[in-house]
Amino acid sequence: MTTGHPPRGRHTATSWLLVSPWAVILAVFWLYPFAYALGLSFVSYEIFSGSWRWVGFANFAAVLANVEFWQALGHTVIFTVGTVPVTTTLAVLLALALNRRIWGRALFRAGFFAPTLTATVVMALVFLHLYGQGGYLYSLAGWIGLPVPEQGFLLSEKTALVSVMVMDVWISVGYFALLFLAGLQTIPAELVDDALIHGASPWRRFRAITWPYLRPMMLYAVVINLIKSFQIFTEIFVMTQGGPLGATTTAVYHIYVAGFERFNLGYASAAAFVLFAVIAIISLVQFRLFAFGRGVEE
Amino acid sequence: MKMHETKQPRPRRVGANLLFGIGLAACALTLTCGGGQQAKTDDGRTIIRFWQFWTEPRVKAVITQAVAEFEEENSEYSVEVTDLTWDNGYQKIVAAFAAERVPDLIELGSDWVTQFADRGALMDLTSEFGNMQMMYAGWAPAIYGNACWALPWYISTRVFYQNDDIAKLVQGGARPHPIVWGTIAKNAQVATVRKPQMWGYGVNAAEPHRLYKKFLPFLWSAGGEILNEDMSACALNSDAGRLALDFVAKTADFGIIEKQAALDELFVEGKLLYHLSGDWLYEKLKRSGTSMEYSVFMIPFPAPAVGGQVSFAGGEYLAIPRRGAQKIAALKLARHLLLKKHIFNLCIATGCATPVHREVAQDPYFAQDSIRRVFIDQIGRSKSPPNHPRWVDIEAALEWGIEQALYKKLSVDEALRQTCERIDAILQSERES
Amino acid sequence: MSDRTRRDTWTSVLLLFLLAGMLFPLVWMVVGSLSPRWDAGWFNPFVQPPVWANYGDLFRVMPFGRYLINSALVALLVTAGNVIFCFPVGYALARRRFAGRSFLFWAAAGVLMVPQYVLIVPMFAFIHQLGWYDTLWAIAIPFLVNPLGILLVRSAVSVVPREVEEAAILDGAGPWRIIYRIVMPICRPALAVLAVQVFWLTWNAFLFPFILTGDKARTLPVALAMFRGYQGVDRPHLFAAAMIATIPVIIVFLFFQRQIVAGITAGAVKR
Repeated sequence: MTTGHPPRGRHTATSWLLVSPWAVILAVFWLYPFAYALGLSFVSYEIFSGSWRWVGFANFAAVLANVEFWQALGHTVIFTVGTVPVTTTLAVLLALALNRRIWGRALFRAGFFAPTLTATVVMALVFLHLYGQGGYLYSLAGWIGLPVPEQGFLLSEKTALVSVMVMDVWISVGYFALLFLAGLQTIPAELVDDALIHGASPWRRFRAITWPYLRPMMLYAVVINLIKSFQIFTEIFVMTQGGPLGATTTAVYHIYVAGFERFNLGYASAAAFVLFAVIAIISLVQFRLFAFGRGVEE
Repeated sequence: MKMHETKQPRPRRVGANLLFGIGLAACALTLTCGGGQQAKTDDGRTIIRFWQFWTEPRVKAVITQAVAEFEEENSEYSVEVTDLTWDNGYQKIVAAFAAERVPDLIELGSDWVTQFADRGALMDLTSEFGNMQMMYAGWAPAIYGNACWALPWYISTRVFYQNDDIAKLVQGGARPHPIVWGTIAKNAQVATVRKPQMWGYGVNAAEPHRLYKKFLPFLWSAGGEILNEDMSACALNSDAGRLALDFVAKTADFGIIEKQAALDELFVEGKLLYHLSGDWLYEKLKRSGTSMEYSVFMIPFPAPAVGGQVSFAGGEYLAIPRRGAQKIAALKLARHLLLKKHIFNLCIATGCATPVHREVAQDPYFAQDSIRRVFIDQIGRSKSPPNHPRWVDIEAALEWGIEQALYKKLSVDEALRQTCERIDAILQSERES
Repeated sequence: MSDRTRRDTWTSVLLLFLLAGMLFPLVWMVVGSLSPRWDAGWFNPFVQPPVWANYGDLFRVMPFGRYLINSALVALLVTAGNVIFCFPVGYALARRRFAGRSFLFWAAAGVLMVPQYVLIVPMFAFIHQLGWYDTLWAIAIPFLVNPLGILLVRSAVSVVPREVEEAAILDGAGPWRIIYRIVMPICRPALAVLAVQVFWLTWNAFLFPFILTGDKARTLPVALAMFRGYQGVDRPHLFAAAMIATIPVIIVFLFFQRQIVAGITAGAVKR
């Protein structure tokens, strides 16, 4: 590695000092709830009397045997697969566009970011109206010639999930474009000018110059978006309540209903950890696939 | 590189263990130290914790005023009101009960009282029932196992609203109220032909805790029941059940499927001929300043001289958790909130047409208003869902079945059969536990 | 060069269209907040004057000012905390080898991946035990170091070329100097992004503030939820409240946006 680094002990001590804020917050506030939630998933808990009995893996078995859970997971996967690539691609394009010297750049940035800035609940309510049969989006779609379902976008099982996905993309694009823009800003100007002088094609410029600087940010963005998408809840809760016919029930919504409407906290915890495992595996695969750690090891 | 790698595993484990140690120590520390909730305010008054759902500013003002008056008259108490949102409130309730930080007085929806009572979470209020029975109405959802567990605070029912302008159009000048279901279907069909300017009927889309309220009136009017006498089996799969579900499923053909709020709006805009809704819609209509002519009528009969005009009744109840700290004080507060004048103010603020207090219901404001009178008549003939501890689950199964039939995923017979299967499974699991 | 300008003009036009499409729902919301119609629909401003009173109402019917201040205080505290604390943590996770590094990293990822709903019961109990229920501490302190920020800093630091640090070491700089004087300025755009992200997350946070606070420490998103009542949504007031809830975030964003741009010069000079 490098020469002249301090003795091991001091090195470790400094490292621990550096990470102490996170270590403390983690230990005090998050380890206990995490452990408690994990514990809940192995018991059958009666919230009104506070009594609980150990049931081992019965909750997990119930989760894995429940068709509705798998359906919810399926919807979540569809949601994620449908929104993450689209959001990422659009965000990259938007970031590239916003990086150019166009007039009113600051205004554009603020404008595209505005949907993200508004509270999700409110945005969901706005879209709830716009998607309805009396709403403008419905009328617009009919006017364009899109096949509009009889019952409005959110009440037809075929279009409900897609409608929520479109809304999610709408909210998220500006946000991720901002992240990518930050990544693009770290590209040294000389490199770009060099390439222009040498007459490199736009694609070549993108691959050789832009991409290396964009990549870490994109990796971060995709992982974050993945984790967020797998936990999509608020929009469903506000707009469709998991319907129609369970078409928009996502994993977290399923967990929520089990825990807070059926008061079955044991099952809800178990389902949450199954979901957690799924997200963890996917994130891990992503890390390995894109050799996330390479930036550190080199 | 290699040297560092072989040395990694042990220090890593040590570090991780250390962290766990810190965490567990923190847990142990907090579980031992730290107390319960604060019992008294700084000036020595006892705190009563009251959790309630009326968060809309206009209504909240009534609650605040009632509470302030209570504090004035009972200066040894200080009431801490916690607002619960309609959508998320139960999350906080679950967290509170699970964490053993229960409030002293809590507002519960009529659907939930039985479940809480069955699990032993509420204080027995049968003596209160004895005192209040004469003056107040709406006790059914609070009675379970020969005891009373909650006090009625706000009750409401559902009636049919009719857009008289459209009715005149459809019926050629006359606008009598339909007496049988068939008339509704017929007139609605004529109106829906002109969509999207107007629709004949407002069909509730799948909305948890709302859809079933639009089905039960038909089921009960046809003489059907959800559960049998001793709540041991599902009774939906009957002729009455078929009749009711058949009609509700058919409404999708001549009506517009939308969520409750959207249907209310459509009616206020004058685009809906018939709409089954509650008294809040009347408030909305008045506030919108519409020039539309409208009227209300009770649930029609299935057929001439067959069945009854039964509607759904539900509401909000005041309950006292058994593990609360100030049960006697909470009861005092509950009695205060149920005073005539506070019930009156609550009804005016919420637009409620069916006050729980019988004398308030006789006030001209309610008794002499043509629309509110219909509500009062209707609630006299309304029923509440069966008081089963797992009602919330049964309700979900019921809504599932209705949705299947509404969206034509299953035939009416099949939907009823499968719903009954689910309900029987729930009943069975309740017996076993 | 004129070819470039022409292309950029087309880009501008395209972006304008996109922007119009994107902003339409928001415009509808603005109109709704001023609408005299009870359902907050479009209205003709020449026939019916906009109801500015909707905004005034907010402060009359509930302690909206208090909620606004609560949100602001918590958001500022948490953002400042994250900017200060996430950087050393992220740096250490990216650059230094030490015992427990993996654990802390995966714990950060883990906290993000667990659905929040299962954590609210123990958090509720724990916060009560600390005596922090319905105080701003409850919704600020546990979130002072956000795993999201840690991961962001880590990925930002990992692309800073090692030569920069090695050169500094050869110059005799200690670890603190390297972190704060050399690496941090390079990562300024990432820190700006972190600040905006954390501010937005905290400002818009609903679940934990709802569960852990009552009337005194309530924040704006929870207050917004109060407008959905038994009988439907009070749209004009909800939208007005949402507007008030959004404007500070836009201001913060506009401010930090310049920081991101400033990153160009900082990053370029370092070569």
